[in-house]
This record gives sequence, structure tokens and C-alpha cells, in this order.
Amino acid sequence: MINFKDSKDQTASAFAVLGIALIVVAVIVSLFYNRRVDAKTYAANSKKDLVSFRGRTEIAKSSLADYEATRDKYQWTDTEDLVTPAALEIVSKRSAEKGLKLVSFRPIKSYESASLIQLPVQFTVDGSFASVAAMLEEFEKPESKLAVQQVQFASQEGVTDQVSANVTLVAFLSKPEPTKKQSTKISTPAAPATTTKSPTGVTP
Amino acid sequence: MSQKPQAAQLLIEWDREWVRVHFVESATTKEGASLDAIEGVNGKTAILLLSRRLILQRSIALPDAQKSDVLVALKMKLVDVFPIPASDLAFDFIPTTEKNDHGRVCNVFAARNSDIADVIAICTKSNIQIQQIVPAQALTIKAAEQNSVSSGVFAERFGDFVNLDVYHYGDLISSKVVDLNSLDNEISRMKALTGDGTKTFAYNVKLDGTEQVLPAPFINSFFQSGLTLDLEPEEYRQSRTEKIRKARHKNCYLLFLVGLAIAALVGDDYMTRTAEMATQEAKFARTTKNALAQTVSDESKATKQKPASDQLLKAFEPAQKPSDILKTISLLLPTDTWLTGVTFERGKTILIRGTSKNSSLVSTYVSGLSKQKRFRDVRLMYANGGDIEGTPTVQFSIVAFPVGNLAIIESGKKKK
Repeated sequence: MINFKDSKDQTASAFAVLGIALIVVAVIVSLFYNRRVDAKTYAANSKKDLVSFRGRTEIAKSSLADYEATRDKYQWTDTEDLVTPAALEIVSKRSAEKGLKLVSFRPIKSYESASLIQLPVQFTVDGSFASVAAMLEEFEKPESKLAVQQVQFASQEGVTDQVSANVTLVAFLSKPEPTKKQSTKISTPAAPATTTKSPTGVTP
Repeated sequence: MSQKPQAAQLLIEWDREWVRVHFVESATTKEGASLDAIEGVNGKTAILLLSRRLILQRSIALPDAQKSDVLVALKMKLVDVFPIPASDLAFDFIPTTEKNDHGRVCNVFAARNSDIADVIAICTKSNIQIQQIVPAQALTIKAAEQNSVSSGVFAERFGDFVNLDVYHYGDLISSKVVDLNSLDNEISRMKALTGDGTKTFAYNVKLDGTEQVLPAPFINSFFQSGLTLDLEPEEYRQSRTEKIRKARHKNCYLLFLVGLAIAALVGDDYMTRTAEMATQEAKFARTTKNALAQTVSDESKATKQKPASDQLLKAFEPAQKPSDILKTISLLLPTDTWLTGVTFERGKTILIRGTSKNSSLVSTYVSGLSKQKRFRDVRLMYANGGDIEGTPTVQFSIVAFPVGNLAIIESGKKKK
């Protein structure tokens, strides 16, 4: 069928060769380059990724729960204005419980760290060393939400077993959420009524 | 790949009044008054054996050369050999082993172009493709050679006729078709020509009883004869060749179209599958992306909370509680030794000041503190001698770093 020697047969022979080449290429493509849709493989790969992500999510959620529990446990949710009197109340109560005399109490300027506001309070108590240590022990319990930052003992002149303790505690407050920029448009207040009524309903 | 000649399916011995057909595949032979009367011949390829009545035959000497050259020479000579113009004849020859002064003796066969055209037309009508046209008596020439018959008569029944070929000293001296009535006379006359000792071979003909009976007609032995001569006219051969060429070209183009169609189908299938894969990939990628976004969101929330949580844990759950540190300092104090001041601050060294009755007690105290795993870098800052109400004393100051005492106040701006 294919004969390139005779010029009359060359064109037809070329087409025949081309046809054979096309068939061969088609067979090769079908056999070796046939990209079958393997949904199972896709699903398996996807599942593998999803399992990995799920694991990471679970770890993240668990960590988040731990972090939130820690914050709930130790962090004040009130503002500074409310925390300071609450701290005074706690200190007063603990001092009284341990038989200590609260000499002074004063809040110190707060600090703003990257994630929290630190509000130190400083107070001075007079009493025995053991009582002061016992009071500190009370502050170390989570309920007080006050961390011991500094303790200074000094023995009182002429009085045996009595110390004057200067203690600094720190309360941790959450930082206020950054507020969105408010619109610069100022609303015009409503015009006052032209007539007002007295509480008694009598027009002056 | 070159075109191979297709083997003939039929052998047709044709005469205007009788036809014999040998079917090669089934090895059967059928006869009839015409080709139309014989079944199973349509659409076949055939080798045509022309009846002796249509063939002119002579033995002449021709140059001993290439066949194509000999044919040219023969064409020049035909005018002298046959009483018909060479232009009206289709001719060919079979060389013999005999040579003379003029060259090699050859059996020359010729047939009228008009007779050949008639038989070709009949075959074409029955859709028979002729591959070769051979004079029927050429078969007995080969048979005589193969059987080493020098002088003899070959008689073969052919319908209501008998084919007769007569050989004398190896030469075909007569070849004819006779009817049954004149057969005996013809046989006697031919035997007289060839002389005594003439062998007689017969197929399906009863002679005087001295003949050797043949089992099959000569047509059956065609393929053993190896005959290559061909009386097919050039125009018909060209037409046939062209027809074959067209069929071949048709097959070539058909092959191309089939290849193109298969390639198109495979290509389309490939593209479709690729598109399906892309869809599947996109689907799974979307699912994965959504899951990843959720994971990243959760991780981001946790990451935001972590520093505050870490700071709170550091403040409220230190490695050592301040009260424990103070208790340890107090418990390790030797007798006759008193604390006058203690300064403890997160993240810094602890300062212990006190009074003792002698320096060895101070030393014991420092040593005790140093042995404690709660403290490191325990150092005596000073130990000064003194006197309280007449009693000698030692004022001392010690610094030590409580292990795990981390600062809880992070540096930052003062809020107000």
C-alpha cells in the first residue's frame, strides 16, 4: 500500500504514513498518558490535609481554652477605677484576718504592656513576720487576683518580733479594645422646644 | 511496504462455445457453455487461458537476449509469421532449450486484440479481475517438458470438444480443438505425423485403449507449470494497474482518515479527562483552603491570647512562691541571729539583713542558704562587728537570687 518509489503513489503513501503515525500516537497517549480522574486519590490527599488541619485546629482551640481559662482565673475584667477599691478591700480583709495593722495603701501608676494593663498597688502593714508571711500566702491564692511583686520587711525599733512590711501587689487588667474611628460628622442637637412645661405643668 | 500481487482465485479456460473454471481455493472445477452459467465466479481474480481456437502458434528462432529486447525483435518478425497485422495482435513467447543458427527456438503465441477485448469485457461484466492471459496449449508444453515427452498427443475433453496438442521431437507441431465426431480421424492423422512410438495422454476421452489416462484436466496444473507469458494488452494492463493504484490510494486516504478520527477521539478524551481533573482538583483545593482558613483563624486567636496568658502564669504561678522563699529564709536562721530587714522583688536578688551574736553564726547562715536549691549566687555583702547595750554583735547583709524568680512587670509605657 505504501510506495514512495513511484511518484504517483507518494502523496497517498505520505497520507498513509501520517495516518499510521496518528494511530500510533493515539495508542501511546491512550496507554501511557491517559490521565484518569482518580477521585479516591484526591479524596485521600484532601483527607490527609483535612486531618492535619483538624489536628492543628484542635490544638489551637485547646490552647485558646487554656489561655482563656488562665485569663479568667487571674485577670480582672473591671476597669482601673473599680479594681483599686476592690484591691483595698481585699488587702484590708486579709490584714484584718491575719491580725496585721494596715498602715497605708496607695495605687501606683499603671503600665501598659503588649497585652495587658498592669496596675500595682502598694501598702504597708505592721505585725509579726509569721502573720505577714501568712498574708502573702493568702495573696498567692488565685481568688485574690493580685500577684506579689515586692516585699520589704524591716524590724521595728525596740519591738521584738514585730515587723513593718511594705508590699507591692500587681493586678492585671485587659486592655480596652481599640475603638473604631468615629465619624467626624457631628449631629446637630435637636432644637429646644419653644415652650416648656414646669414640673407642675404650669407655664412660667 | 509494497503491493504484492494477489494470488488468482480462479483459472478460466475460455472458448466462445465452452468455459472451464477451476476454483483454486476449493480445488474444484466447473464447466459450462458460458461464464454466466457458472456460479461463484463474480468478484474474483482470475488467470485466463485462451482456447486453442483463438491462439496463433508458431515455433521460430529468436535472438537469445533479454525478454524485452526479444519482444521488440518479435514484433518486427510477426508480419512474416502470422497473416494478421502485428498491431492487431497481442503476443508473447516461451523459449525452448533448442538453439540453431538463427538463435533460440521459441514457441510464439498470439491472439487477436479483438478476441481478448471480448473476453475481457465478459469478465468485467462478471466483475472478474484478470491477472494474466495465457494460451491454453502452453500448459501441455510444460507438461511435455516435465514428463519428458518428446513425441506424443495430448487429448483433453473440453465440453463437446477435445483439445489436441501434438508434439514431435519436443516441438509443438499442432494444437487445435476438434469435435467428438472427427476425433478418431484427427488422432490417426496426428499419429501418422509423429510416427511409431508416439505416446498418447488423455483426460476424460476414450481412445483406442493405448492411451495413458490423466486424472485431471491440464488447467489444474497451471501453478506447477510456472508460466510467465502474458497476452494481456498493454492498455488493459495499464487500466488495471491504474484501478489497483486508485484502490490503493483510497486505502491510504482511508487509513489517514481513520488515524485522524482515532487521534481526534483520543485527544478529545484526553482534554475531557484533563478538564475533569482540573474540576476535581479545584473542588478539593477549595475544601482544603476553607479548612486551612478556619485552622489559621483559630491559631491566630490562640496566638493573640498567648502573651497575656504567659504573663499571667508567670505572675501567679512562679517557680517559687514568695511566701515559701520568706519562710525558708526564716527557717534557716541560726540561734542568736535575727533578721532586721528583707527585701524581695520579682526578677531581682533578695537582700537579707540581720544581726548575730558572732560571725560564725553568720557564716553558718550563709552556708545554709547556699546549700539550698532554692537559691543561687548567695553572697555575704558585709559582716560588721558592733555592740548593742554592751553585747558584741555582728551586723550582716546577704544577697541571693531565688531560683525561677522572674520579673512580672513588663516594660511598657506608663498609662497615666
